[in-house]
Amino acid sequence: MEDSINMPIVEELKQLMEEDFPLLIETYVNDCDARIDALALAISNQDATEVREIAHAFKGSSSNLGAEKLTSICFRLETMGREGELANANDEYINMKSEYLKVREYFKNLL
Amino acid sequence: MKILIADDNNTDRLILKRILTNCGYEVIAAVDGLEAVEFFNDSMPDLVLLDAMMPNMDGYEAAIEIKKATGDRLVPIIFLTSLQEASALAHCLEVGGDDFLTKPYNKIILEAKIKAFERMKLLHDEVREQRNEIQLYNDHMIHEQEVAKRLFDNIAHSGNLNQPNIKHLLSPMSIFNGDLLLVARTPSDMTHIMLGDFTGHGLPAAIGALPVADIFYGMTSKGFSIVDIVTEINKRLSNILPVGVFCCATICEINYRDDSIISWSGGLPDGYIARADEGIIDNIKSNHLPLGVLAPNNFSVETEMRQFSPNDKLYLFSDGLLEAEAPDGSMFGEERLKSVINSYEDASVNVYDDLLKAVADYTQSDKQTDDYTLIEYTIDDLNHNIDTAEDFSDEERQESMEWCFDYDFRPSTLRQFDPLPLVLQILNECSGLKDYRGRVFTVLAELFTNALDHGVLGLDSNMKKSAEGFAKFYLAKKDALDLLEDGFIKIRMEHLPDNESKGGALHIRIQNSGDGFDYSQLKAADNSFSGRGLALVQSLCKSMEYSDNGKQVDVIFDWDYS
Repeated sequence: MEDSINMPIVEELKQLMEEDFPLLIETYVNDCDARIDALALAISNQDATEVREIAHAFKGSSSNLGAEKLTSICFRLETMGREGELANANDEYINMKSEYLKVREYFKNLL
Repeated sequence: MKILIADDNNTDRLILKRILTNCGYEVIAAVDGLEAVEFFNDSMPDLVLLDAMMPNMDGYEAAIEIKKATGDRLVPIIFLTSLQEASALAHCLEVGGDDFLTKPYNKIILEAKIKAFERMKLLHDEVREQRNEIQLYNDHMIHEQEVAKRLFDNIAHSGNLNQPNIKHLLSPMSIFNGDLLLVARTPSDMTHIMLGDFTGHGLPAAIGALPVADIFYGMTSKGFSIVDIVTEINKRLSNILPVGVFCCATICEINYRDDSIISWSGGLPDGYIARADEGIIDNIKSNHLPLGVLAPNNFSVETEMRQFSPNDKLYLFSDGLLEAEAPDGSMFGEERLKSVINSYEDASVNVYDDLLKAVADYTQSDKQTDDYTLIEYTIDDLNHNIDTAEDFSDEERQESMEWCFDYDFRPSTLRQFDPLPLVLQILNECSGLKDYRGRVFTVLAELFTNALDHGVLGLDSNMKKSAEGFAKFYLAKKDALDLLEDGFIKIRMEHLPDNESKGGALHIRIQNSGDGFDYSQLKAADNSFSGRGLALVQSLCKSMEYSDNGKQVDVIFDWDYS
């Protein structure tokens, strides 16, 4: 899991949020569940702006929680959206979804 | 400290809020720009953290709205952004942001920035508070000065400053520059002029002016000479003024009857007397320390006497005139001033206006600089005619009464003070004679001066015929008074009421211990007198008779309520 998650960041967050750590995880998971579906729709619609915005938000949340691999995939998708070049977006999306599911599993197990 | 945060990203907002709460700040969290502006107006936070990209209203727009609402308070705005391009970061500052932080948050940097802005805000609030205090204090001071000015105007009214033969420059707020210009008529129709310049500015300079004006007007109207007035002013000022505050002044007494000016000057630049077709003929030099410096027992009231004839002009001014600065910092100075006044060698020149213009041209300022005070005094024919219609009337009228008193003045009294104001004061108390005060004073003053100068002191009246003689006479009088051991002047006044006219007759007899004189020499065939001011006395009285070899004079002065 160490290549997906920066463990010290998660440790730090736990200490920071204390009793609110589960709320943070829950919020992250709920937001990202919604985003992952919205992203699939945006890619199938070839809506570059939408892709960029969702990937940007996804990236922000993930970076805060130390999900570094996911963050870099989001960054690549955000760049595709900004450049309007969505040819490889679907492949990247598949990557992203499998990484997200791993991260989600990890966080759920923490609770 | 209250902090407003706005971020549409739920996890970011949760984390940020937690970091700030843990630091001890009160946090208000908004989900977009619209809500941020709304919360800002409701809760007036001290600091705002704005995410740049938000739905509904983005951070840039929210920053503009928030800055509009802060007024002169300092409410720092810090942008939170994961954007990296320099142009996006620059845009944060362009819309009024004070700084930016990049995501993800670094707790330490975040805390350090907030602390820095907190310090800046405290400093700003302190400066703002001090500025408001200064503003308040300034308003208060201006108000006080206005009150003081009104107070001063009531006491030191312009006096006779607005006579047509006087031209003067005095700024409306001159009182706070410490400048003072007073003019008043004496009961015997002489004119007293005082130009004063207090050290310092503001209220301290103005406060000394009040007693000075009070004494000047009060004593002048009672008939005191400038010697007595200068002595009294110095005494009062040396008591009340703090060390280092004093009043440079020139005080003059202008006597239209013998065309003379008596002056005392301490600390002011030279005053000038200019004569038509001749230019400057004399200057009034300061030969004393300013008023308020010396204790009364060390104070010298030595005055100087000069000729001052019809159409002569007297110029007095404060040092601000000589010190008027050209743009390069050089000063107007005495030579320029004298050359303008000397232009009176052509009597058609308007010296006063030329002088104001010369100063304005020199300083190259549009407005006439108000930093100096200037007076030009001319004896004109109007002044030369003695105006007996002085307004000394009193509402209360009493039945006139029958009375008589005798005064006997001995050398020590004659040396030390002028008894006439005292005598005049008694007349004031007695009857409706008040309305005739000016005339009675004139008669008394002339006869008393004759009795003293030519009787008791035995001085030759012919001395006064030339300008040098004038000054000599004056010095001789001083010496003679100092040496006087024997002698007297007796004044007897008797009043007989006239019940028909509701007036009466005042009989004045003045005797002196001198050798007498041949009064017949002064008397023409038609019984009219000339010389020694006697023609004037005669014109004011019903009768005038000399007796006892000229050592006694009797006059009868008639008056009524008409």
